[in-house]
Amino acid sequence: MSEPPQLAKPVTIAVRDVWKSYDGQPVLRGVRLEVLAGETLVIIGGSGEGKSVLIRQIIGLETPDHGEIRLNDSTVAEYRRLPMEEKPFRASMVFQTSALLNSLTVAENVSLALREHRSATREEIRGIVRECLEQVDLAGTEDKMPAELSGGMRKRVAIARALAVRSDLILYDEPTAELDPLLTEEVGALIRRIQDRRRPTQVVVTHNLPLAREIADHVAVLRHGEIVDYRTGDDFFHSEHPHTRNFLRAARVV
Amino acid sequence: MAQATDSARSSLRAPPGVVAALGRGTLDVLQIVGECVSLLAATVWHCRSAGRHLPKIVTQLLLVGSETLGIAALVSLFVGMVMVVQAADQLANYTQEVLGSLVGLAMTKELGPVIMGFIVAGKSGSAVAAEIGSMKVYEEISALRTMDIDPVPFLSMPRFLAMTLALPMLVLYSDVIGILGGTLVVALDPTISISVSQFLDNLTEWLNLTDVLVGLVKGLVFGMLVSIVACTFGFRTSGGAEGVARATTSAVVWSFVAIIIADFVIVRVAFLFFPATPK
Repeated sequence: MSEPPQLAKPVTIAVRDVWKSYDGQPVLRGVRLEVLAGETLVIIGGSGEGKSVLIRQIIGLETPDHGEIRLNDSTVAEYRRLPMEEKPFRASMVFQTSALLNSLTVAENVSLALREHRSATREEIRGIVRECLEQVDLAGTEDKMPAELSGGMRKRVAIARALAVRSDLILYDEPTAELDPLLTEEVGALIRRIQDRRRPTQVVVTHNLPLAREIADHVAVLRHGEIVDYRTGDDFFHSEHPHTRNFLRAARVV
Repeated sequence: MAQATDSARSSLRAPPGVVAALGRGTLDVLQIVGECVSLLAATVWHCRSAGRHLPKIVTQLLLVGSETLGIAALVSLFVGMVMVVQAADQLANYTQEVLGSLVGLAMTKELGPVIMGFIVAGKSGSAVAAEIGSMKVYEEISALRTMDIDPVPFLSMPRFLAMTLALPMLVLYSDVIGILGGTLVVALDPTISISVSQFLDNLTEWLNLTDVLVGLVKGLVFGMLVSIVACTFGFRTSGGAEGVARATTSAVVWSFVAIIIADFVIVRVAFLFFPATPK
């Protein structure tokens, strides 16, 4: 009998009055948001509303002009400064472009962080890669190059890369962008499966409403750089907020 | 009258435009130089962990070699040959006995290092700028950062060490092939009045170890410059495929300029320590 998966460490996110501008144009205007430990929050919004900018601030790729983001007790900057082995939890991001290293094989991509930080032996790494690829239904693709994979497969390899470091916080930037409805459903089911298995905190940025319906514990709506609506996953589809209603109507969900 | 006033206005407006453009250009140049210096310092600092990245360094070294050996041989051979043909024609009324020293000194001290620097900048430097530029545009570098993998030891340091080690070796290779090209012309061209042994005797009489070493030092410095310039332009890439193309072209142009400036500085410094003495 296989061992039950180890649960993720609880990670909460507190976004407090975050502002971010580019060339004097404000993109985020005082965003406030709480993400509970172990939940999946979906951030919905149209193109150019600042969804990707927001999760880039949460993972620490960019710094807010004003306000702060806390991951548990530390700010993002404090968390990022810690060396890998001293970090109290692991955070990963799945990029819209998948961001796989094209010169590395699938197995090398999945195990990249483990190899670079020497956090496991070769034998252990082989086992982790096999296990993670099985979880994303890509067993047997270890030696393939990213260029040989379809868009959906690349996305799943990127998710396997996040799983390989036992991430306690996973951020997804448009995980279903450029995927057909069937692949979208597959990726949605995968995110749900990860949620059920280890309960990491997950933030998913998307404008795909069927995906949100499938995975969201909470939904936040971002418009013109502000959170204008925040509800549980079930309530969201019955929201009376005018912008949310418009968004749902345009997507033919209501 | 109105026309005259307009013309006066536009001539009044023109200087601030030119000055502003000049100022912006100067600031851009200073910013790029600053980024290069900063990346050089970070890369040199991370060279202490070179042992950990040995496979990447060897891969890059082999890549530089495989990309440049063929073209380097061809160019060096013909440069040596052309030099003998040109010099022989100019010296026809004096003496062609100095051809050996002329080819030997020019190849080892100047042409070998500069030509190899240009070839590595054009082949490997452009490839590095395009590779890192694409990685930047497709968020692969951001992905590395989220995994706490520093792009400097991961990407810049192996390329820096590979090019810095490869260029002196390529300079030696170019010296030998260039001299071989000159020797071939001396042996085969009926208009040249000296024999191959006279050519080689004159070359060995005048060429000393210091000349070869100065060429190798130039190769070392050019390797550092080309790799750092290529990585800097790769890391500062933005704006999709067009941005990658722009970064690649800029990396090559900046490398050429840096090589020429560094060449002048090294020559001046070399003459301070090893002044040319008549034999």
